[in-house]
Amino acid sequence: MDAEIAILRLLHIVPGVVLVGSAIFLAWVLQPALKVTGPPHAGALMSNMVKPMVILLHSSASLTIIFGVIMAFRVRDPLFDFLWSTNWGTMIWVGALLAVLGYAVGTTGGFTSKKMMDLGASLQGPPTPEQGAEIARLQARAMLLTKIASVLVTIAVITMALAQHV
Amino acid sequence: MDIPLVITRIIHVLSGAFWVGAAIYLALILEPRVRSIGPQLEGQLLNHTSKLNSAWITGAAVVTMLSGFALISLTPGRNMSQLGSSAWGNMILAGLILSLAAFFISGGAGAFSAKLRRGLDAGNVSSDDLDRYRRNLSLLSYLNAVIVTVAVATMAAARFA
Repeated sequence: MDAEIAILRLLHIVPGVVLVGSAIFLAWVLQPALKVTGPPHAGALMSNMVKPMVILLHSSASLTIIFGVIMAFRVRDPLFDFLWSTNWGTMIWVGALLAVLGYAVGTTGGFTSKKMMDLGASLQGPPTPEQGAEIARLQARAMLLTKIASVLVTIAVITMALAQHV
Repeated sequence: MDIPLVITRIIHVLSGAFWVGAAIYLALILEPRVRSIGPQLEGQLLNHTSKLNSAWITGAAVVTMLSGFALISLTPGRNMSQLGSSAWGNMILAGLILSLAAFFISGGAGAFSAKLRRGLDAGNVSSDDLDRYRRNLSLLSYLNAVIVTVAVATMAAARFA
């Protein structure tokens, strides 16, 4: 067994699986369920969940990207020649680009959620119609960005999983 | 390109990623946080989320395992008879056994989640029993998350065996 490649593969795949699975679960299962639940329960849970969620998603994204880059350099040498001149390389760089884009969109969605929670926490009593509309707008935007991020990382996984078949 | 192999691989990878990611998200983030917001909110949230979670995760687990069997048959140079009789087959068999164990443990966690939801709804279950359901749910969720992670690692490393 090529132990180094096997270990790098595990360090890339396991956090990648956690990232993609969590993103899909959050975007397509949990957030719609929380939207149906509505205030005050959904807000209470989301604000309670933000910190561990941010730690899980950012750490798994960072590990996936870092070990993915290291592995790419180890399996193809010189990597940059393969990236631009082979079908494998094209799939890998397109996948990496989509993954980074998905991470950036997801992070933007996280900032939007935080803005919404800050606004909710600042309320003294029930929100005015303007504040309610602003919260609804931010919630819709955060949900949309999370869905886009989950689709981007999913396509990134498909692209990279297909690289060895092209 | 072998289209059936590629499509099966995509289905296996995506459903597996969802299964593992959701199991870890539930065990490490959602369940501890739901519990910490108090029994009334816990009951209402469980009503909205637990059936949905069970349906999605069970569905993903079944699709992952079925597409995994198909993948073994479709992959050139691999077949079911190698399970347990080669280094690659041993790793895949170990991953399969771990996946099945995780599937049943996840079912157990779902059963305790349902008991907890019904107990919170009915309001006539003692707090000791509710605490027992919560402890068992936590334990099984963590166990499930660890086992599916080890299963993924085992299968991902199989080709290097």
